[in-house]
Order: sequence, then C-alpha cells, then structure tokens
Amino acid sequence: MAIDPSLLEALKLRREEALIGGGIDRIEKRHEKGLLSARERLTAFFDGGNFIEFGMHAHHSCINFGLEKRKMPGDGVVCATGYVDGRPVAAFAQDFTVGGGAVGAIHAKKICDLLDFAIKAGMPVVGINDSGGARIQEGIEALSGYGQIFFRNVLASGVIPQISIIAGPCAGGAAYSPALTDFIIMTRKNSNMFICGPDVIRAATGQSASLDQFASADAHAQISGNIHLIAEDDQHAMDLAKKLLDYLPSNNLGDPPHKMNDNIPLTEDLGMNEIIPADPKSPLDMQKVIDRLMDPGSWFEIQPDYAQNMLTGFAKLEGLVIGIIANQPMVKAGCIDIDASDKAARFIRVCNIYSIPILSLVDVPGFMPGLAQERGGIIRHGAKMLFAWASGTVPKITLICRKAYGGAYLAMCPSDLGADFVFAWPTAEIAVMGAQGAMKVLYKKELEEAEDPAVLEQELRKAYSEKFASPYQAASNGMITDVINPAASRSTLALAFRGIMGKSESRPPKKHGNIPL
Amino acid sequence: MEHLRITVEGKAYDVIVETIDSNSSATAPVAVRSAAPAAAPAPAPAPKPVAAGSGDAPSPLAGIVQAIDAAVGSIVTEGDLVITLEAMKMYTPINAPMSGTITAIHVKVGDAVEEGQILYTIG
Repeated sequence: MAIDPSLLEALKLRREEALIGGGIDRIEKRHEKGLLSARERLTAFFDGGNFIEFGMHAHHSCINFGLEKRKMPGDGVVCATGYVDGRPVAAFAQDFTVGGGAVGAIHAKKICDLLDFAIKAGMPVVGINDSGGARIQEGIEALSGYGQIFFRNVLASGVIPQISIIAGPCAGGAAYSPALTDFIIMTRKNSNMFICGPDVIRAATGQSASLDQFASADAHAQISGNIHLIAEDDQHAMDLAKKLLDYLPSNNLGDPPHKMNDNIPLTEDLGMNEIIPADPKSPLDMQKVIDRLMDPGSWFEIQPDYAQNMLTGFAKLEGLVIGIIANQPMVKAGCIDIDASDKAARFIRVCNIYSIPILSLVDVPGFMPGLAQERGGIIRHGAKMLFAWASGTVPKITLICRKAYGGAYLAMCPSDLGADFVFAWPTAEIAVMGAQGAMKVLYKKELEEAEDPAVLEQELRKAYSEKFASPYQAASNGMITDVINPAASRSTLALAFRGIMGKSESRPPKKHGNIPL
Repeated sequence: MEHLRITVEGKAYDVIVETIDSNSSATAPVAVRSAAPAAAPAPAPAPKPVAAGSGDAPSPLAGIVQAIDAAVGSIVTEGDLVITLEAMKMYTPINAPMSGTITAIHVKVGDAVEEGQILYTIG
C-alpha cells in the first residue's frame, strides 16, 4: 500500500504556489531594483540557505472589499527557523510582492507565533521589515495584530536578542515593532521609516520635508539615532545581522560566543605610547586606541554615525567578547552630551542583558556645557549612564586614559559605580574640575587682592595641576587598581577580564528600577 | 517688516514678513510672484543627512578658533585639517567634510564661535 500519488501532487502544487509569493513578475521587478524577495533574503541569511518554514499555507480569512477573491500566499510573511554559524535562529521576512507585505490578522499571528516559539526555545529573532503597513480591508483586526506583535517584542526583550532589518517601507505603527528590538539595521536605499509622512506633516504643520530628511537610513543613523547600522544592500543587511549574532549569546541565560585564546601574551605594544599626544590639549584618537587594544579586525562599532563623541561597540580581546564604551576626544572634545548619554546608556544595558563584560575607556573633559543641553534635560539623560552602570552586574573594567573630570568621570564608571578594576595611564587627570575653573573658586579672594594676579594664578594653577592632573591622588585613595604603562594595556586588560569572568553579583529584588527616561 | 525672497521648486517669491503680536490686527503675509526671478538662485544649504553635497563646515561645539591651516583657494581633500578649535581645554579638529577648493573662511584666529556656526565653505 503506497501513498496516493495525487496527494503528493496536490502538496507539490500548493507548495509551488506558496513559494512563488506574489509571482515571478513582481520578483523580477525587485531584482531590477537590486532587491531580493522575502525567501531569497532568508536563504541569504541562514546557513546553507536552509530553513524550516512555519505557516507556508496560512491564508487570510477577510471577506471585506473583495479581499475574499484575492490569494495571498503565506499571508505576506515568511516565518522560519534555521541555523546561523551552527546556532539556531528564528527569522521572519515580510513579502512585499504579496499585497504590499501589508499586515493582516493571520500575518500578525504568524509573527507572534514565531516570537513565542523563539522565546520558548531561547533563540534570537531577526525580523526583515518590508511592508506597506496595515491591511486596511481587515480594519481593526490589523491594528490589533500590531499590538500583539509589540506585546511579544516586549516579552522577548531582555530574554532573546531581537534584530530588525528595515529593507523597504516601514511606516506608521509598523515602525514601533523594530523600535522595541535590540538592534535596527537599515538598507541605505529603498527603505524608509517614519511615523508621519511628508503629506501628513505638510497638512498638519505646513512644514515641507522630504523623506530623505527624516525617514532615510542616513537621517536615522546620524540624527534621530533610531537605527544602529546601515547596510549597502539586502545581502549586506543579512551579513550585518549575522555579524551581530557573532557577539551575542542565544539568550539571556547563555554566554556570548567567546572563543578564548589559550595563552595571553604579555608583550608590550610600544606603538600605543606613540599615539598619545604629549600636549594634553591635543586630542587622543580613541579609535586608534581601540584598534591597538583589541584583536585585529574584531572592533564592530554600533551606531558609528550617531553622537560620535561617544564610541560604542563590540570587540574581542584574546577571543573574549566584550562591549566597549569610550569617549572620543576627536569629536566635540569628547564631552558627554544628551545624545552621547542615551547612546552609551542603552549599549551598557544591552551588554548587561547578554552577559557581555564591559570596558570603559575614559578621556572626558566634562558634560557638554550649553543652554540647549541644560534645557534638553542633560541631567535626566546623563543620569541614564549612572543608572546603567550601577545596575549592571556584568564584569566592568575602566581604563582612564587621560581626562576624567567631575560628573562626567562618574558617568564613565569609576570604582564607585561598580567597576571591578580601574586602571589609569600616567597621563590620567582625575579631578573634580579643571585648573582654570578651580582657581576661580578656591582662590577668588587671593587673586582679587594680589598685586599681580596673573603671576599668582600661574603659580596656583601649577600647584593644582601637579596635585590633581595625575592619577596618583586617586591611586593613593584606593580608587585605582593600578597605574600602568599604556604599552602594557592590552595584556593587562586581557588578564583582568579573564580573571573576573566568574563574577557573581546581585541587586535587591524588584519589579524593575526607575531609569530616568 | 522684513522683505525676503524665497525660492520654492525653482520659482522665486518675494515675501514681506511682518512681526505681529496678539493685540495688533493680523495682516496676512502677501506672496508676490517675483516679476524678474532671481537668476540661478543658490541652492539652500542642505540639511545634515544629505550634507554630502554641501561644503559648509559648521562648528560642532562652542569654542575659540585656535588655528587656521588653510586659506581661501586652498585645495583640500576630505578629512584634511582646516581649522582647530579650542573648547573644554581641548583642541577639536574641524576637518574638511568633502574634497574641493576652500571658497570662504568665515572666522579668524581668536574668534569665539557658536555651535552650528559655519566656519568655512568648500566649493
């Protein structure tokens, strides 16, 4: 007794119909624009192009406005699990060739089911967004679908890594699902993301604005800070998502994919000393410091175009995955401003969720002064960094390279905020404020009464600088683990991280803290 | 009252803008199609995300101009140091945002500059 061949034939036909999505014509039109189809994107993403599809035969049940006569294979979204670098990962890709990738009730249910599955199985989720928005014919059912996806994005947040790829339109409420995830990658062309489009903006406010100004990958990467990485095309977007997974654990209970070297060489890197300018006013290029400290080619900067006075990203140190928060004195003197605070605080929390140890590289003259900063709430935003450091329980190591002044120093994780090791270069200046400002407070009266205030100020300033513009006062108070030769930084940090990986620290039980948002 | 010329999609409009307060009777601003449109209106400075074509180098923060390493007519390539500011006891390099010829330098050594102020222009 063999299976009835007509059953297999019927299955084959149904599969063929589903696999073609919105049809060959529409897929070819995409190819002309340099775009991949939904299934081609998943093929490019998963190891060997293989994946198990969920809900291939799903279909909408809408009978409004003639929709009952329209076939929508897979209801406009392909959901699947497969492997990336040998580890299980879930992914969905909205299919723009099927009804413009619009979200209806079944489409949303497929995404929700995949998210539920990924949470249960403890695997990362990658969502490829390419959708015209809500399927209007389904009315409030479509809206409800979005709400259910948002709810699950929040349930999954902090449990499994969620990566969103914006590879087409992502407008209105649809933009809030990516916004709830850990990382957003956007393709440079052919994609946009916004809440209200140019027409709505013009009608409501009279302002004339183009999509390029507020909805493009560049606008989000440089100005709004809504996205983390820009991809040149679809394939590059898949590669970036895979690269992110190379630094992340599968879930919050696992460890990142460390590939630790057996030996840590204690050789000195004399080149490090060469890149430190002798003049304390000349900026140190922190990108060069990171390049020298980390395993070659492992520095993966996150949000490289946003708030460039603060560097955030992943790297590997003798094979150990770490997160880096660093001031960049080449931009805005390395001052911490509102955007830099938000960028750093968010990244610290990502590292804490996923058990990624953090290195803080400090060269900061202070918080950014200015009316716009004060009125914009720098107090509230800067406090996010303090909150993130103090509530973070992963290993935290701070290296004070040069300037470490006032509140900005505290915002870069000294021992008071829970650093497990604090190293300083001999060039470190750790003080509550700079010499010039301190003179005006400490010696206001003496300077006013002096016969030659300039000479006196010069002398007093020299004495102040000798006392505070060095790491030794902080070191003598026990605030610093050790003052080290910059050339020995890489091996010192590698050994310190290796030694603290077994750290276990807890916080008082609570629903959650009240981070100043 | 201010007399402005505004170019929208290639059409020049002469506009009279009047500052009014809540007490005075509001006069609707009058838009008059310019009789003789200004010849080749200069493109408006592009906003930051599409700044690739704009050669204006704005100051990233408030500070003092410490050094100017180029002059009008200098040919620069993207990333070249043009101006150094001193702010927060630090030197901040203002590198060329694009390659080209420096057509104007709007500041001199010792000037105090505001955040966003255009320091030089590359043509």
